[in-house]
Amino acid sequence: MNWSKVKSIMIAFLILVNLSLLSYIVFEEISDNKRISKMTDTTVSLLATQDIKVDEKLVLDSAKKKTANSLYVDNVISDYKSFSNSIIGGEITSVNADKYKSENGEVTFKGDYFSAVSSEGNFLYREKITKSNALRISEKYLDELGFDTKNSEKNITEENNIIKVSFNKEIDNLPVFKTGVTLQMNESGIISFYGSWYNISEQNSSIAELKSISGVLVEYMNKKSGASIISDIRLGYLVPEFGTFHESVLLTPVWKITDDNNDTVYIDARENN
Amino acid sequence: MNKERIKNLLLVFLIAMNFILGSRILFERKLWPSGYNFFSNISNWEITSIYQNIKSFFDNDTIYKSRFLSPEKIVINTGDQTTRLSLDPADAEFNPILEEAYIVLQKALSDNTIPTNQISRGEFYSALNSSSVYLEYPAEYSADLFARLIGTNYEAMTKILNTFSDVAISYSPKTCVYFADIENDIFYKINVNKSSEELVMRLGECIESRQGNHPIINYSYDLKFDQPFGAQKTTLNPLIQVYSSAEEYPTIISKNPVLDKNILDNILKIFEMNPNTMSRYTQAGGTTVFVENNATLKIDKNGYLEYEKTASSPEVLDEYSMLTTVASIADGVNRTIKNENAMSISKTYSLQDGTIALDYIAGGLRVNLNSEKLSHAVEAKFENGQLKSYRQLIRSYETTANKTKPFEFLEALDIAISEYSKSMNEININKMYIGYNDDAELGEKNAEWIVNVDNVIIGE
Repeated sequence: MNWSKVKSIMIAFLILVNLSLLSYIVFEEISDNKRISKMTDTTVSLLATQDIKVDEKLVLDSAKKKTANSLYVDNVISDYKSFSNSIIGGEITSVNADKYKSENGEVTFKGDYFSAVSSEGNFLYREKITKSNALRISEKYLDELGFDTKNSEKNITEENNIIKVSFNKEIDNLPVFKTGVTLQMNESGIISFYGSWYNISEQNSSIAELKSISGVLVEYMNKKSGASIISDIRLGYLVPEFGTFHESVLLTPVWKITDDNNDTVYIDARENN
Repeated sequence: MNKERIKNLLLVFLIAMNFILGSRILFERKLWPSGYNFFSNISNWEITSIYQNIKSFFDNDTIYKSRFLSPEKIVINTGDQTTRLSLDPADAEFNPILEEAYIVLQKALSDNTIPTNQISRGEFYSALNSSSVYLEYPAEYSADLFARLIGTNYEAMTKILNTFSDVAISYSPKTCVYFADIENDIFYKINVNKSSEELVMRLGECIESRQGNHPIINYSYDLKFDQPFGAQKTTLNPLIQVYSSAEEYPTIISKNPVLDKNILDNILKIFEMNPNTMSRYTQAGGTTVFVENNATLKIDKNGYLEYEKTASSPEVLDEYSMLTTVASIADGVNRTIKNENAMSISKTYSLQDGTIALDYIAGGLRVNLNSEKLSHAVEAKFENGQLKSYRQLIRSYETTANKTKPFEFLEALDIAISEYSKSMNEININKMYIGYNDDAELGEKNAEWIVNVDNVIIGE
């Protein structure tokens, strides 16, 4: 058998097949983009009938997102008393079910949210702090407390000799809305520390198919009354039932839609099965 | 590099590209038009629906699985208390006798031309003292509900009888069915036109096989225990059976089944909650919470399940449908956790509290739950004909090879009287039976006497 000839035929055949597959993929991409563009126009027009204005580019960018992970996260707070002890130390006493104090400071809780303040003359963490080392010291302090801040958006400001370092939680490059911690410090140490935080759990995650952005905006339209201009559409995660304590929680993707009055609506991004 | 080598490399590259592009199309683009799902369409094929019909036929023993039409005891009366027998669901003869008894009941309740005669208490007692079989139910049924559960539509009875929990069938000389509402002193008798040969045969076989191997049984009315006696003025429900000696019963072990993610997802589906679209989180203490727009389901580590529905639906359920709804949910949960224990109805629906309750059966005996959160294994509450809440303590019970013997009846009665007399001037015992007391703690439970008192009168 002339294998060389067979190979040549197979190569020619495979080139044809691959070209067909590639053409199909490219054609589908182009069709998709056209479809998304048309859908965007329709959506924007529909919103306009309800006096809601939105930039087409915002909608187009959002339409590209098809899937996102749903995943479990664990609260850094396992119980209020031991968490308080890890921050303020000393002789911990309970003021009420949501507040603990010691000679070093006090910690107040509301659901997953905590706020720790040092007593006068004491510091939650004592070290010489400047704006240049504030981030490093904050990361070290949080790491010691068990906060995983590797994937988070960081922000440092200074005003009236108070340095503020904020960490906003991100997962898969998506923000976890209303979740973050802020440390306030002066040159002698950390004065206060507040927020909420979760670490990614070992439990399995799953991939969620996302609703079309048109569907999301229609839901938004049904929830909103009056004229508005949508200033931001962002995909992220949101811990449900704010104000309730969660030992662990399944984070599912949501769309955060903000208007020019800074009113925000969160809409479940998952496709209904 | 020679030509052949280049060809080989090119071939390998093209084959790899083929797989890559093909996979991308298969998994991202799909080979079918949008909206068409090959796999969901299989479920619409006729052959699939035939299969599902066959499967549901064999699965459709929901009613018997929950045993809410099953008495908790069958007493075979022979006219002589020395040969009177008592059977519980663990006994092999229980189900065959029950099946024949239901055939007789269906005959009695399916013919609206057969008159129902009100009779005296004395006549009812006479039936129990002659050749008959007594079915003791754990809960009161309305006549309408009982008729529907039996599968008949006996209007005559539903018009005259409110509720009852005791049924007797006498088979000699004639077949008659008796319904007793002991509390209100109302008794009815229906003469069945046809004979009950099969039932008589089953009863005869049972009596023969158990000759001499059982305690003597009297009803409390036989011994005048239904009249006040003793310093504490104690009365017993006249139909409570008094045993001359105690028997052995197996020890059971209560277990809290492991609820992994798959089991939790399946439990969600029983409540028609979509595991893919709800919120879920864990509270302090390990309670898992599932939240949908119109319902919340919580399951804690101790096996306590609580479902609450906030939204209304247009469908309004009648008493029968409420019961089948609760039984269906309970069956679903027990099937999901692979629990073989049946459940028995402990309370049918009433307007006063809108609650239906079920309890587990283990080793043929009722498990009497006495926990902080629940007094029955399942408590379902209805408002305006709609399910508002469903709570269950999820447990499985296994019988062991160990056996224990509870106190003898009279000794147990003495103990109960002396306990209750600390807080009561008059003691009315409406139920006294052998069962298992479960305080929701896991571990071994021995059979004990369970005493239910009708009312509480605080002593001086």
